[in-house]
Amino acid sequence: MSDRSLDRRRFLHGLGVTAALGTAGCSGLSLGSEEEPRLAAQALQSLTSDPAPIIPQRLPVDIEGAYLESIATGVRETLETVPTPLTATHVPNGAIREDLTHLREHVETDLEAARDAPSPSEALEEYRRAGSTATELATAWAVIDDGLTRADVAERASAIDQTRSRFEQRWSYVGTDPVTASVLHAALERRVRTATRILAADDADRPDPPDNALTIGEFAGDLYQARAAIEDADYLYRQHTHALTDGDDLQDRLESAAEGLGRAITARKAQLPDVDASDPSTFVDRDISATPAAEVLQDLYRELDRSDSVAEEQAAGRPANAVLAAVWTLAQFRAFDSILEDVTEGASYAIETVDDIGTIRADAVNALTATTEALDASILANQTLDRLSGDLRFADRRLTDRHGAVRVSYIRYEIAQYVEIAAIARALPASVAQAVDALRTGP
Amino acid sequence: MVSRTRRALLQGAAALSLGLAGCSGATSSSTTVTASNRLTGENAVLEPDHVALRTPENAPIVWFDDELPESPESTPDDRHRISDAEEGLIADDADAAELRFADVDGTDDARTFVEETDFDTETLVLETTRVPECYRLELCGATWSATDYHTYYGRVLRPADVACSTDAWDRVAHLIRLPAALDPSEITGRGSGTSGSGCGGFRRRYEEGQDR
Repeated sequence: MSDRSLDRRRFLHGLGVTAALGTAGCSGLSLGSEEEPRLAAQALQSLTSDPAPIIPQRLPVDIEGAYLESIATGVRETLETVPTPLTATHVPNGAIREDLTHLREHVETDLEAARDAPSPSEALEEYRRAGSTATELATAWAVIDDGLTRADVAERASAIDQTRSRFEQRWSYVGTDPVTASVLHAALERRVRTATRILAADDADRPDPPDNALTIGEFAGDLYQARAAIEDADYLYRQHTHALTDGDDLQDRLESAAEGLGRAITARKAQLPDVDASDPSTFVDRDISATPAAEVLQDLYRELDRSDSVAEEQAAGRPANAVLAAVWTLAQFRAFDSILEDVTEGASYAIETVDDIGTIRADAVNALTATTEALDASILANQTLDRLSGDLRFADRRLTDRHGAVRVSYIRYEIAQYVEIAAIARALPASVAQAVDALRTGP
Repeated sequence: MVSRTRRALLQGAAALSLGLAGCSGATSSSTTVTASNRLTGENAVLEPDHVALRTPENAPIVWFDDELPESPESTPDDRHRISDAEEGLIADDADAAELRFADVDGTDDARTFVEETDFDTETLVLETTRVPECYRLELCGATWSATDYHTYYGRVLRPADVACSTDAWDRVAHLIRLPAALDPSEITGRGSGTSGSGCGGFRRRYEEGQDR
């Protein structure tokens, strides 16, 4: 045996120790206080038996069943181009075959979700998701079965871009009621943004590995989304304009409202307390560190301190989305004020029992339900209410996805979320009223 | 003859700063040993000369004769273990003489590759790892200093017409030629990382280092 080999062996032994120590930083485990209360995960799961209110997404136009059915038919026709089931004879590579099988399952799940959707707007979203995945699957199969290439798929982009361009030339911010118009045109702005983003993706966005059936399929799925976004924008716009007996170009009105709301937000931001966000005890005159109060105040403060979504939407030429972003941000400011007031008066939202969590979560559910009922007629509130409902369901999933005895510090985030959702829901009517006022007052 | 100034410039250009993100979901290091997750001031090479030997058999492909355990598959826990004998540096003819090869495709090329290595200016790295049967490993590059070396791989899907199972794993041995004569007795660290998204990440960091 050579001396070098001895060195090499000694060196490998040393590495074994290094590797064992080196993994400690990745575990995510921490050694908490032994006195910290622990709650049974099973008991946490019972807390969400009263589900978050479902807020059906609404758009102020009629989305016809026939339009949805035509999309569903297209999805089914796309699926029919792929053998079912895919066998090892069709696709010998088991990993690719497995991925393609999962894609089909996702399409079926999305089609089912579309059929069960609580509103036509959500059904449209689900059908489009199904269409994108079905296109991904069918394209991957065409790569395998028929030699389709990325270049073949890329040829679809220019026609989509021309459709986008034609739509943008035709589209104006026409409407009668600026509140309704802001919601409708925000939906169109988002769709145009989606198509533009996908079509602008260049080589730098391509996957690193050499192309294969799956990556070319993904590319085709993305292009489907771009095409669908423009088709839907065109459809929604036609439905909107057909329903109008008369109407004005409200672009100036929306831009003016966005500017006014943006100024209000800038003023609110200037009034944020001068605190050190990394030290939660600077928010109040006592130590609130390691409490949900600290978590929620820090979270809201940081988000508001750097909030510039209204300005970003304005700068991108999306005044309708700027107005919607302002509704959310103004509600966050009011929520921050009210939570800070409660914490100053002694609230910490500290948890010792499962019932404590139940009380805080019930407050969020009740606040969201009450605001939904109060603002049901306001289409301007719909998007924000839907977002709060989604946040509540997300917090519920995190809370119930636990096992064994759960340290209360581990669920501080979820508690903070419930507190924040309740406060934003309560703040929403005033923020919606402020936006409605800005839209109706005009420049 | 290269002037002192030019030599210093070339050395500076070769000195790259490359990091391997730790704990990333996209990076698998389950079969690797990583002495450090962030590496600086290294020499780097993009896609160095190498040979790769692959087998579905759960047995060593290339190993150092004196170090192979008597029964590497003695227990279920050891079934997929890569033994120490299947990894290390080959820095001279004596090390090379200890190499043994299993009877798999490409063995002759691998022997020739070892024979053609100039140990006065080059060093071979032997690494063995396991790879899912439906994937292959692409060697992205390597970095080294006098005291450590690191290799970087990208995992890439094999073509659709390659018959393979998602439950099966192959064993892959790499012999990688580093363009430097390393002294194994000076080596105190080594590492290897596999990216699930190919070699683009390594290539970008390499090119950024070149631009510095």
